[in-house]
Amino acid sequence: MIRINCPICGLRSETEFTYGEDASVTRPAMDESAAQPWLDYVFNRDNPRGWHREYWHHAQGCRQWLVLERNTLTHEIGTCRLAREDAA
Amino acid sequence: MKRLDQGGRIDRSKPLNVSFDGQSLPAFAGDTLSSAMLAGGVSLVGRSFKYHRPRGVFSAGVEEPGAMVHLRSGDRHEPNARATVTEAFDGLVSTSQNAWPNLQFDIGAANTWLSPFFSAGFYYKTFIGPFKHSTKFWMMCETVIRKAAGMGRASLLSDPDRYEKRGAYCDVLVIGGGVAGLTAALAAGRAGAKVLLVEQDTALGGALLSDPVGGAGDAWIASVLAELQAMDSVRILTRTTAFGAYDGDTYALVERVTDHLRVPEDAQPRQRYWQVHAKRAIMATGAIERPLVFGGNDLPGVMLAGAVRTYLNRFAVLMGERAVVTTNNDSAYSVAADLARSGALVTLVDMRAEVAADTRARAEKAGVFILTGHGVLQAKGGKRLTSVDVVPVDRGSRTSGAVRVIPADVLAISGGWAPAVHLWSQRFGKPVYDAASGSFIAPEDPDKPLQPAGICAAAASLEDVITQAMRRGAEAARATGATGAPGDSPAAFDTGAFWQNDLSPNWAVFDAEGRCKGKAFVDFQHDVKVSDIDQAHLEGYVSVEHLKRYTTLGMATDQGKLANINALSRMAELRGMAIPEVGTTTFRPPFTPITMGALVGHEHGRHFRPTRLSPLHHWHAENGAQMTEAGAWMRPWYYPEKDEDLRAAYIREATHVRTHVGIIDVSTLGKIAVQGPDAAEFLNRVYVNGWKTLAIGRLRYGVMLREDGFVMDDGATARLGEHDYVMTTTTANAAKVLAFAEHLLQTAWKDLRVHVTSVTDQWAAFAIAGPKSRALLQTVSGADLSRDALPNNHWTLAQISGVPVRIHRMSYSGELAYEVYVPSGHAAHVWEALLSAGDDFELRPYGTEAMGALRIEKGHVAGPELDGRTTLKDLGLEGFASSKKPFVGSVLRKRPVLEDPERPTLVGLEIDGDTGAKAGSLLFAANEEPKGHGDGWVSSTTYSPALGRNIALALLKNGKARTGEEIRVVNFVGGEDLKARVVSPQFFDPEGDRQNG
Amino acid sequence: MVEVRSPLRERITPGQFGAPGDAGVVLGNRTLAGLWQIAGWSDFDEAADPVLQALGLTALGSYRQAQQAAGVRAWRTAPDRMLFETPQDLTPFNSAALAVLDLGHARTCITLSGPIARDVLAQVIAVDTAPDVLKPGMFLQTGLHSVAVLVHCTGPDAFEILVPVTWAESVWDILFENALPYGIAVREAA
Repeated sequence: MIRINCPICGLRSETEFTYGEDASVTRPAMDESAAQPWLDYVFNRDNPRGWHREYWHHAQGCRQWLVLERNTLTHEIGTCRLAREDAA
Repeated sequence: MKRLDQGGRIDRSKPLNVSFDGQSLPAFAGDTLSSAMLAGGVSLVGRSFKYHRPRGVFSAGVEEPGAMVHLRSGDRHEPNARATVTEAFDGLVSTSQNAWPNLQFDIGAANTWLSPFFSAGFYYKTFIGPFKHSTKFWMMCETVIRKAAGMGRASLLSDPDRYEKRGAYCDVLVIGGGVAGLTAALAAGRAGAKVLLVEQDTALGGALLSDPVGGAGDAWIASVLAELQAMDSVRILTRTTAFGAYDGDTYALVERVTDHLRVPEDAQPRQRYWQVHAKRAIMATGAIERPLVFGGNDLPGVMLAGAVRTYLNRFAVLMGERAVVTTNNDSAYSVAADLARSGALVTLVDMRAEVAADTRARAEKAGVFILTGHGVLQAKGGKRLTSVDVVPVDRGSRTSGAVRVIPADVLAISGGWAPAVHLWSQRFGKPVYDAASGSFIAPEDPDKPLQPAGICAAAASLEDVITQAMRRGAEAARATGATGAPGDSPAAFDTGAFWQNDLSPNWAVFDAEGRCKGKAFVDFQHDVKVSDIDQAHLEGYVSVEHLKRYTTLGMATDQGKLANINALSRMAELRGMAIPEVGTTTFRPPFTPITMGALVGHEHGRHFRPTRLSPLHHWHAENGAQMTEAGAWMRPWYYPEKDEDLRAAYIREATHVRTHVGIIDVSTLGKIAVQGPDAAEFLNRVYVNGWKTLAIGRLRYGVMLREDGFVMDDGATARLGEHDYVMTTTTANAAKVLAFAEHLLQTAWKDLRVHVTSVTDQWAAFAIAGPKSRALLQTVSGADLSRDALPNNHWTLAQISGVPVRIHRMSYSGELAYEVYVPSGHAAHVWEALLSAGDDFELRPYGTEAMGALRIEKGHVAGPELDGRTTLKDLGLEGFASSKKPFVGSVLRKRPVLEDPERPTLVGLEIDGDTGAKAGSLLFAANEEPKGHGDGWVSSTTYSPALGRNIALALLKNGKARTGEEIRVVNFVGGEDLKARVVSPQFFDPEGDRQNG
Repeated sequence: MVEVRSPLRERITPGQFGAPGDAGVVLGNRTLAGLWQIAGWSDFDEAADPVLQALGLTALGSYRQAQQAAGVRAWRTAPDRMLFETPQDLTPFNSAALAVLDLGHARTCITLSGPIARDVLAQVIAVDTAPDVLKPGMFLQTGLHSVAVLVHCTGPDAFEILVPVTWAESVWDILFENALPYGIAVREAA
């Protein structure tokens, strides 16, 4: 079971969260009119072996979106930050 | 077999009524079902899985492969219960399974003679396709084979018992309550850690419970336990199995709360599932004895040596007057000695040539006759053991002399012990082979949060067990921040021959050709023989994983607890490798079988998932509404009058709306407060249409797309104040839209000063529709709702029966209509006030079916059209999209594939005939053979009271251009083939005169 | 004033249920005196101050510890959000800097108390409910039967659970079901 250390609520079980999406992609600016950046944002994904950044939503808690580091190889959980404070 | 007059850990003052196949068993409190069976002389308990061979009690624990029975009856009937871990209770009724017509005479036993046909890979070889035309033949064979091969049969009645789940949090979880577990818990507890100690048995003590009563072990347990029980920070659970170890330091336990009672009383649960989060865990799970392999090693009367000793010392059951004990290690010497002391004639057949002098002396002193350098070639007997063929063996386990026949009624076997590393392996992968102990153990790694201790870490003596467990307990406590001292170790005591000292690698006895004599089983539960492994090897199977699947070895309910090491030994021999080179399989949860009930807990039936109820739910129920599920919600479907069916009711309700006025509960609509100075900008981005000009007091219909350009949702949003809007979503998409909005605001749009909050629960909503709706609402609220005072897409505040409400003017039905938003705690009050005032206007409630009919007549899209596969263009909503601003999905909606003119688009269908089309029916050109996916599909369908005919909304290739065309509407499932005419989806009042009136 | 109707009105039958003997658990329902959310942005501190002052509070508080003042309870639910139970109308504080939202009808309060209350809670939420972890005055937002709730520990063996009204019956039912083995006393709605 994944346990996520929500910066607001503390260490919680994955049952309170929903997975969002890959957090390593950046949404293009609203005025981006070319198709390719949007296609990359919506569809094109790497499938990394090892550490990965993903969005999780604490839907049954503080309703904050989080950026969680998860190792796709070992299933280890790394740092967890509020998405709004995530700089990367 | 007999019960001794004294000894054992049973309470002879508490006799219990226990039966097996109608035979009453002499059971006492403290017995298991298997000990009661043995005390009652029952040697034949079941038939094996494949060959229906007679099987008896083989072990005294969770590894039991043979003594599987049906327990209880009726709705509490339980199949595949292992008699060895079933506590005896008063009123326990058990019956045999997997035998027909009965246990003594089982027709399936003929399979033994057919065994050449049921060899390794039987399924794979017999049922290789391709099957012409269909898989019917395979399905038939499958049915027959399953019937013949099956295990116990499950009850078809629903389980009357309660099951609970709970979480638990501790510093140190100690799994296993033997010497190692008790010691580790003691060290951790003394250090000040919060400790949870769990033991699957009914009592603590582990292997010591199999020692004679009153020995040093009993005193040891009593003293350690007393200290543990005095600690507030230590919690002990018995009858509790840790069956899974998972990521995040999560452990799954099942506590058998009332399985030892006839029926749970006072609402007590039968079992409780514990999800434990432990910072550290210690696995003190001991070891499981390995069988030796020789012909007939499955015969009733052949039993693991340790089990023979358990039955003798714990349950006071002497397994036989004439006993043969065969072993490749020291542990069986105490079995032999205890048997001899109880009066049995004991021959100890040791495959090793040499035995330590003191070990030998102790056994001989007890009266045991010892044959070293000998093995058992074959166990003989019909339905139970009568004699044992003993032969001299060489170092390679091959016979090296003449057979000696020893009459025997029990044969105790020990092939060494396999540490129970299952939980470690579940979590971290494959265990490693430890040559010193000849077993697989967890590799040394102090960083792991789960550490083995004691026998499961191959400790070599009791002193080692205690020292190691003290250290593990102290380390674990320290790692969780406990600072206390673990104190002195409890003293060890003399155990005699310990565990598997001096283990030799002999695991089977072979004839001169290297084969076992007769049927020599490796996996007793799945009937896998040495010869099956040999055959798999001959056919080229080299990986243990493949061997396992090909022979089904280790795949029964015991999950290879007895079979694994012997199978690996055979593979290593065949491939000329060492055991570690062959490797082992990974263990998966659960360690022992778990009831579905325990995993489900209360989440079944009406608690399967939570149900969402409108504040008016009870009004609907009390007023005869037929309810329907809409996602998690319950909604009124229709309100039948007298004996109306659905069709009659919704036609009446829809007609009433068009002619008078109706009211429907739309509280289920998603409602989201959108607040903040950038709210209009936010709406502008998420909706395809523009929001910057919406004035306070007005509302607007909006459509939103997903990032990929498909339509996500639609609904109206009202501007309540300078920075305050309230958005409505469809019932189905409320949660998705809110989460999406939050995501955008917390990631890409952090610069927008906007908050979104669900207010679905805050507001109930009613739609009031029909030509008399204005008159009704004006009367009830006293507000001026005239066309000029409240035009379409405007809202106003009003009061109804003392409650402040918000009235939106908008129509979904196509009639003059309003939505009334009421604080949910006042919803019933206002609803009732409307209905009683509405008498003069003939106000009637209507349900979702009539609402559907009305919206289909108007060609409004809903869930069936907003199915995630449709674009604005497909739905004829393209006109809403602003070209002056970007919005979510604005670029990707223009992908060529989504602009393809061939895409199915929304049309109306007038269906010929009286039956109407089924949603999901496929559309074909009139002259086209109905094959494949067709030109589109029917999304929504109804009888239209306004038009007096069956109509439907559909998505049709080139839809608009085909207006007027005759098409076929085919439902392959129901076999219907209807004719229909393509029309505009706005069937009724396309100009909107009625709603704008 | 029209009375606020509890979503549990039809559900609650006062009395003794489940295992006989002394009830291990007392269940009840309380209608909130008023529930308000305030939300702000980077200057939330400043923007919230007038509301805090009006309610007799001094700080935004922590995400774990509830705050209390005369007739007021406050919970910091997110970095830029707070929730107040108060009969006071906070609408006047609504501004460009502070979004005020009336949620008074959106939640109802289920009360859970008694010597076994913590065990019952441990059966329905995936959070440690031990007395040394969830202490009086602390609160948490969590899922209860998949419903997002706010659990407030109001005493050594007492909890208040704020539940969205449309889910209230389901949450009540699952608590009831889980408490049956311990014996339940159901109180008249307050």
